[in-house]
Amino acid sequence: MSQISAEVSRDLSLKSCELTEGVKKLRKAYFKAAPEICIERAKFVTKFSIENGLFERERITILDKARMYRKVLENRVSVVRHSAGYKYTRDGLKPFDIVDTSPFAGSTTSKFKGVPLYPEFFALNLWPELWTISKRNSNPYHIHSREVEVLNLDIFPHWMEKNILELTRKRASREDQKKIKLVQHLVFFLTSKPECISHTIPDFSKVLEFGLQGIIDEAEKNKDGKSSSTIEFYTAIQEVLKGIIVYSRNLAKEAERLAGLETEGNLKEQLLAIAETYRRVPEFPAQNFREGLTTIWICWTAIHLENPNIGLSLGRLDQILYALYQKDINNGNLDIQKAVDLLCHFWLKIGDHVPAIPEAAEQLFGGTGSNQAITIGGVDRNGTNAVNDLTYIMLRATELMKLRDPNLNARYYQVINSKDYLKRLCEANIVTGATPALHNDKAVIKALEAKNETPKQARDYGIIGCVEPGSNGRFYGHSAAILLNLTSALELSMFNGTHRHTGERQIGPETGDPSTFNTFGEFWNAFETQTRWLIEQSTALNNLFGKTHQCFYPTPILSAFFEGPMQNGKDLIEGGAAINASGATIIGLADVADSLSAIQRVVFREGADPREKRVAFADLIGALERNFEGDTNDKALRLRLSKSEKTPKYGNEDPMANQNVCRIVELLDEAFDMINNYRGGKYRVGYWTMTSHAGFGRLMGALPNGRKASENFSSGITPVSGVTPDLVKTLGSVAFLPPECFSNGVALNLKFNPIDGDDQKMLDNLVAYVESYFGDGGMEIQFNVISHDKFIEAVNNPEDYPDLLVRVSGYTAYFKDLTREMQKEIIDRTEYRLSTGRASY
Amino acid sequence: MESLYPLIVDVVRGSLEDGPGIRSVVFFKGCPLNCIFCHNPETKEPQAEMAFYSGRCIQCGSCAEACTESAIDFNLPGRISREKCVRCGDCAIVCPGVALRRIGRYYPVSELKEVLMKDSTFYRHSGGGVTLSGGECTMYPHYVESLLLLLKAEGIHVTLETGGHFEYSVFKRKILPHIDLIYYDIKFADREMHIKYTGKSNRRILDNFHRLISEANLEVHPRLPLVPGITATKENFSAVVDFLCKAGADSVSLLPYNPLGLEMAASIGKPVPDLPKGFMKPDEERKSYAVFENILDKKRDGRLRWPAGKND
Repeated sequence: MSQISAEVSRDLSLKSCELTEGVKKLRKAYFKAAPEICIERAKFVTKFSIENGLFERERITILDKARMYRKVLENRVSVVRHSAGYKYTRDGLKPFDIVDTSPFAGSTTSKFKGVPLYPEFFALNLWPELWTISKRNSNPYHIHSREVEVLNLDIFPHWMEKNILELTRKRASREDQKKIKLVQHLVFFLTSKPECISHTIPDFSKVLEFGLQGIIDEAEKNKDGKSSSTIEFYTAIQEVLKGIIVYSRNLAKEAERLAGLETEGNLKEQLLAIAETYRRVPEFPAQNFREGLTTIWICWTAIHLENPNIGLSLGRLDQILYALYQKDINNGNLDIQKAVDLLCHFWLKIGDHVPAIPEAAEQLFGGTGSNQAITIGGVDRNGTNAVNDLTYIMLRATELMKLRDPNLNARYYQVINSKDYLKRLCEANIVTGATPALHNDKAVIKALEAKNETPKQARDYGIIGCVEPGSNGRFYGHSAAILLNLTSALELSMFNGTHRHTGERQIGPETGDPSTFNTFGEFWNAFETQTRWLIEQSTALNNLFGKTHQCFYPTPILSAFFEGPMQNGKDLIEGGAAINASGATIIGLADVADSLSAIQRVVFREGADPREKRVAFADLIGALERNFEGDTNDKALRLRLSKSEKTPKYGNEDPMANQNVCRIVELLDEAFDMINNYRGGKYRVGYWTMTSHAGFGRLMGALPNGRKASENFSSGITPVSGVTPDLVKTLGSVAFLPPECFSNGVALNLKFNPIDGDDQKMLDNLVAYVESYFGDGGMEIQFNVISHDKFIEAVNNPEDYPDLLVRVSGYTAYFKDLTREMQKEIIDRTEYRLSTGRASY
Repeated sequence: MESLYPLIVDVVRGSLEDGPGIRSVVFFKGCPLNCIFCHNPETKEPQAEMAFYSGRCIQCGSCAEACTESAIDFNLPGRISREKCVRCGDCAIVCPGVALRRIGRYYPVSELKEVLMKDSTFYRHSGGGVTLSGGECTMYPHYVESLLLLLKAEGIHVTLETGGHFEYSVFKRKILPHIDLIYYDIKFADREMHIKYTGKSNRRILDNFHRLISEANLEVHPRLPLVPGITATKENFSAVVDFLCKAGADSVSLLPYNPLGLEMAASIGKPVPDLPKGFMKPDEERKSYAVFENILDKKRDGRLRWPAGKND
């Protein structure tokens, strides 16, 4: 049976659906508003920890945590209507009024656009800049001076030794201390556990069907005959769920109170409708589309009370909500325009918080939102077409709202999903300039099955954070646990285990002086050894942090919304999920692959023309250390290393280059896959870099592929910019790589110039490129469809482009929020013309 | 005399401008005509040639070191002493950039087919295929036939771009049965003009066109390249339209003037013709179109379509 109604199929673009006045006003306020630091959560959590002696404990139980969260939920302020935000002005951040008519009450923080603080994790990094944070250059946050005082005196001091990083440091052996030190050098790898606990998709299907009360009852039933620790787990689940019910009831009461004060009939009615809805859900099963959205929304705010807002994602909402939508449509309670309006409001709610990014981290993650991915389309668990009305309605809402958060991801299964659907996805990218990202179902499912997921599990994947695939509601993957800078492995192999950034100190194993090597094979072995060593260090450290989580940060809330924990009575962080893994992402793939090919060709002369000169390894190093800025020889060498006509390049369909990229991704997949994590899962690898390819790039010296010191690396799995003018070669090279090695996702960034004239031809070409790239096995593709001139204008006049959306590598960001380096990186990316399919230089 | 082994200048992949969909375009080297306004002069000579691009040179001197004929002369603006150069390409191999290039390489038919098949998915999803261009690929009927047989076995759509100066019977036997679409360039209707600007009479070209239109069972699309003051004149437009109507053509397009051939001629050491150095400005282009359209309207015999893909 087709899941596309006649009404939607008449115009898949749903052009007749527009923003209503209410959401238009809210959207305007949203773009005007600066983030505000909210101390509500931190205050409650600290107070509870002091009163209950949690700071003295060697281990915090799941029941401790549950009682704490219940207390917060029952006592946090009930925000039904936001009335004020802070806006940017020449004289700093100033308050402004907001007219809030959203059908969704409640908020992640107490603010309109809040920055929640998690002192258990990294919030303390903001400490030194609390007094200046509202005035800092990039992405300032508003904070009241009295709140600064509370943080200074009553909150942060308690956490100095009790945050995850310090707790781990205290427990670490001498060897482990060294690993922590590696992170502090910044150039090798980063681990995200000190700032984040979960990077996954919860399961909302159960709460929609049975309500929280249903889950509480299930927990009670499951206690029967279990050990005391398991019973404690179920009791903890019940505690937090009761807390969420109270929070919702409080919102209902507040709405009722406001309705009593309201004189305007329409507004009064809206408030009464909120009160009615919030009295029912999420306690009881959702009866209609609006109740479904409300259920997810309230549970989502509760989940964020426990789990920092870094990439936690909502999953396949078009699937989960479809039954409720259809029921409403059938009984005449809902029409398409109303559904679009509800989703627009819902999208705004989802984006009501941003992560706390200290100024120093802006380099690596500047401009990021919370990266809450939503996934649409593709196939269902049985492999049949899952595209439905809601798929198109969510696309329309995304197109109308143009928000960076939520981050929309569309799945496409060739032949099973219609070509019209793909066309619509491409059209949305042209309209928004940056979203949704497109995922090739065939390749992703293959990648997940290669990690022993059943076909049903693999087919039911949703996207987490940036681009990482995970089986919806059952895959606990912490997909961004490790960020590994692969160029450091190359560096260590070029310098016998030392690194230009850290001087002469031996860091990695001694793998020999490459100027004594006779073959490229020897160099590869050195590179492989250093890579494996970095992987061992980073995963061991991640496991160490994971154990600290297990002792100090049980997660009863998220465990209540997941497949696995409720069945086996085990917290997620103890391995309770149906599928367990940890994820790494690699920075610098293309630059490393091209550097290896360069060494293979010019130093070891493999495949070289006999007339070409050999470059001694020592001479190559000399040129790198001079940053190619010595005499004409340096210039000539850099030219030779940079040109795809002279040196093999990934992205140019060169067999040697292709072989090297393949070897690297196979090595990484195999090496990570060998390692067990602390929850009984394995490690998965992906290639998406957010903005960190610019951040890491700044720290690194010149490379053998001709890249000069401090320049940006290529993003994600994207070939180095400018290696080929032919788009088909780039797409062919990326699609050639084995998807089985990409179980943690990839990001291929392409930039198109939309100023071409013929819109229909442009769209047809874009569709053909995607079809062909997917047909050849490509896994993911994301676009920026913005002209060069517009970018330059936006650099010079950021205030004129508050909502200019761009894809960095993985997530979407507002261009104005990016650092100068990152803006430059995007502008410098190879730009293809959709009319000619070739680069325009 | 026909060479069995043509040189290929380049295989451009992912083109959206040489026929329907996404295409790979093979540029053959060698052309029977010698148009002074040729926009692709490196495809004229059938032999390999050396090109020098002064803007890319960093004066490292590697080329002079490698040349066994002492043909590199830094005092020459074109760098290569053409009398001494034996076109071996050693200098291009050692050039660290791509300031020197040897134009033309041999491809065994099977290798060329392999390159062309790399993008078969793109052809399939876009309704594209392969375009044979040049130069003049019809100079090499045996080679082209072998290539076409391989491509047709894979079901690839093939477009041919030709100047029309070929021997009809050979063309009909070896090439015509295996192609799907012809872009047929007609520069002048007047014989004298044709001789003056291309070095050959246009009788064969016009005859061949006539025969193709009446006999062949495929789309033959005539194109008129615009060269300001030479082909883009009222008189020529009028004469060409007359001819096309008489021949029974049902569509035609104008190719915008392309000045890139001037620089290219300089890079291979050929005299640079005295032609406009820039592309036509949009209003100049519009003016040409308007003149053409006007003529077409007057002579319309009901069949010739305009505008039919002005930018094809």
